[in-house]
Amino acid sequence: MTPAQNQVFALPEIVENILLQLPLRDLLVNAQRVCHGWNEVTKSPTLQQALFFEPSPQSQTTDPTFNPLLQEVFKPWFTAEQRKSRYNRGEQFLALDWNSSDAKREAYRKEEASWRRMLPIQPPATVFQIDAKTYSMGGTFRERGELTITDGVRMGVLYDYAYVAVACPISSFWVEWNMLPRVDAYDSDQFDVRGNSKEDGPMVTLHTRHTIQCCVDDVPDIPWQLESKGYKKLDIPSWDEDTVSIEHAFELNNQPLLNRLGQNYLAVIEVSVIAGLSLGFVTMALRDPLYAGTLFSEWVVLMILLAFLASTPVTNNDDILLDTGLQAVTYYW
Amino acid sequence: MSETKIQKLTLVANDGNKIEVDRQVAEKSVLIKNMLDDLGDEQMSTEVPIPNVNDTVLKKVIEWCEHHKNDPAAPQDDDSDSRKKTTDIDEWDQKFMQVDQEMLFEIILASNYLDIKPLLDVGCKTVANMIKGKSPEEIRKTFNITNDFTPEEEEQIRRENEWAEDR
Repeated sequence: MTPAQNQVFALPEIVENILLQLPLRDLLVNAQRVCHGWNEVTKSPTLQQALFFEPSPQSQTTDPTFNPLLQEVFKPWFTAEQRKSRYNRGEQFLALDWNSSDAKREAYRKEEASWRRMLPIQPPATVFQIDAKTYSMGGTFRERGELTITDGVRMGVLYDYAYVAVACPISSFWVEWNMLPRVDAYDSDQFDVRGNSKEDGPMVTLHTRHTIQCCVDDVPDIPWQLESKGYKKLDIPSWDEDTVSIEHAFELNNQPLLNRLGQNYLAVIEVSVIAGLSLGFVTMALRDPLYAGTLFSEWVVLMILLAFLASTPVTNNDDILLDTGLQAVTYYW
Repeated sequence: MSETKIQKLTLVANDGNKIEVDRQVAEKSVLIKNMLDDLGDEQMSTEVPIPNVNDTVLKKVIEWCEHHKNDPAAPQDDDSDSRKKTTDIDEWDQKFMQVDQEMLFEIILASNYLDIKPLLDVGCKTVANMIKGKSPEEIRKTFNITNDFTPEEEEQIRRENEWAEDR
């Protein structure tokens, strides 16, 4: 080591300045591991903030910044499209970097894996809200709860809650970042959230959906290797529970089901099933004219259901109708 | 005009060499600027000793100050802002920093001592660019740093961050 270099590396404030210029991945993975001296420097408040381990002070003037590393490897938590892709269920998890190899699965699952304590956004969200909707034949049940976490909502919490929700069959999630100032790229007027008053602080909401269906196998949407060993259950006080009536869902509608046939394979299947069933009834009725009357009435019911599904617009946000329709058919069958 | 401002200053490097510079150039150094402000022009002799910096390095630093003498003064408070533009170094500065490693660190030390923040940042960015994309072992090799971790200590840090390692 040259004398000047020796002197430079002996000055923590200069080493800090150097390390601050590094991309997050280099700082986290490599710089911390060079020697004790550098490792000590990474424990300074400035570098802990740069590493997204310590919250940086809330500011009304500067825009919050997403953690670029988490954004890269936990994309579904940071993308607006997530909200619209409804039936991919476990796919968001299966496509994660986490699931890319055995070595990665091992590394991410570790209890001490540092992504768990990383802040997804700086300055952090301090309110963690869950908005869980359960669709079933009896209607839609919605439960909301929130928890204030003063030193910031960590990635571990966001991951665990999404994992638990999506581990159930037929579930999905999306994340809404309600920051001050706002950072999300969504259309703000489409949000169905509580006003984010100042005393609430910046808030992150995890929206989950779960559809309860009879006669479905209970295969989880995602494999156990995607569960973090550091999983901790949080007690989140709920502040709102209610059953949303199905009629209410219709009011939100704006897109007819038939328009979505091209994009939504489930809708196609659904319609085909109903059409197939009615064809079956017709055939049976023709074979056995004795029951024609009864069967005809059943066929009429199914046709009404089909017409109803096809003509009623389906909401973009909530597939309550689609789910309910599917269930109605299953039930009827 | 009650006072006549000195327009030229003579900087004296630690090996006794004298270098004459415009006041505007010398004032890129917050240390020299503060000295001039505090002492006032009358008491300030036109010779300014720079005891920590040798002739070669001082010349190099002055070359930088000459080139950047018309840059607007950077806002003092906000260093988070400079962070966002990481590793963007303008072309002239990149060429300027194409020196051997010893000289690079000499420039960093001098800019730190003379309090020339933008030059210090350029120096730090240059070093950061040498670190970027390297494994801990390669970093140690580049700077001849001894690994003073026990294998257990190093393994523990590695385990925590293994998920983020480049595949």
